[in-house]
Amino acid sequence: MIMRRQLKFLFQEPGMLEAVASNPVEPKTNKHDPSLGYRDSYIPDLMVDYRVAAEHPFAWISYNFHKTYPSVIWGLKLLMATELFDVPQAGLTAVPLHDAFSWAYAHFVLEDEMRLAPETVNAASSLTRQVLHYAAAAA
Amino acid sequence: MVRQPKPAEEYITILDNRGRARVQHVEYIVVDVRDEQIYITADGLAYATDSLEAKDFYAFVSELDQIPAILSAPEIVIRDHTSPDDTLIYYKHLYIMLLGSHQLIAVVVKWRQGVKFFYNFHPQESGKIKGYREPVPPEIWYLSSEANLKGFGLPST
Repeated sequence: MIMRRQLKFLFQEPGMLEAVASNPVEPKTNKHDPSLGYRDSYIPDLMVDYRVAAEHPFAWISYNFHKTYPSVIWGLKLLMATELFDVPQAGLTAVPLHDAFSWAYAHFVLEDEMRLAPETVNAASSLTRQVLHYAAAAA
Repeated sequence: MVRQPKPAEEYITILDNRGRARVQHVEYIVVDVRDEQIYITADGLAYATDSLEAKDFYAFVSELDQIPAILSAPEIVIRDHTSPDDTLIYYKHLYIMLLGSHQLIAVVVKWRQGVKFFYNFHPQESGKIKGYREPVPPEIWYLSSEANLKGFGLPST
């Protein structure tokens, strides 16, 4: 059974958002684990970082997520939707990156003002749809 | 140059995205390469520390002491192409003692209401600064005389 990676989000006003993926079965060693350093992805305002010799990124950063979230989320949906993650701080399981980042926008930037109706709380794709509808309405 | 804040500078007030005043404690102030004041706040340092530790970058946590060196003598500073009016990114190669190697480091500075403050510190892949592959390269705010644009992934002029 392939263990899903877990995502943890960090946020600093006005719009610095980072997501860090980890393997929940690997114990934390508190030792430095090197990487290649952040570099541009093909998504505006989203950089990614890879551990040395890793196939998939382990960290994502957006400096201006409060402004760029529509393109970041849409870009993740188009280009980085193959892997599913668990997001314990959001109570989400088996979600693609665009859903996780949609939660992050609703939580950190909108400060949970965009409440999901109970019947859609597990329909994470609806959260992405709501966030992008919000972006279109605000444009 | 680094200095301690004067009594009137110990706290700065920054409006958040919703216009609420957020008071931040100033740990110290750096005068950057163009003689502009950058406020290094407790919140900014706390975020940078948490961020580095979340990525298991323990060797970089002690290098947060190098923030003044990066701000006062960067190799290149660019305007963030996704938010050029309020975000600067300072880059400098640092020798990381615990790793025994050099690493390109980015220090991000934000400004609001005319106040420039420290926003983040992270390793950057060498030769690939933010926006390097954009059709229109990011605007260069400062370039040291020794720096080579190609070394940062940018076209030479």
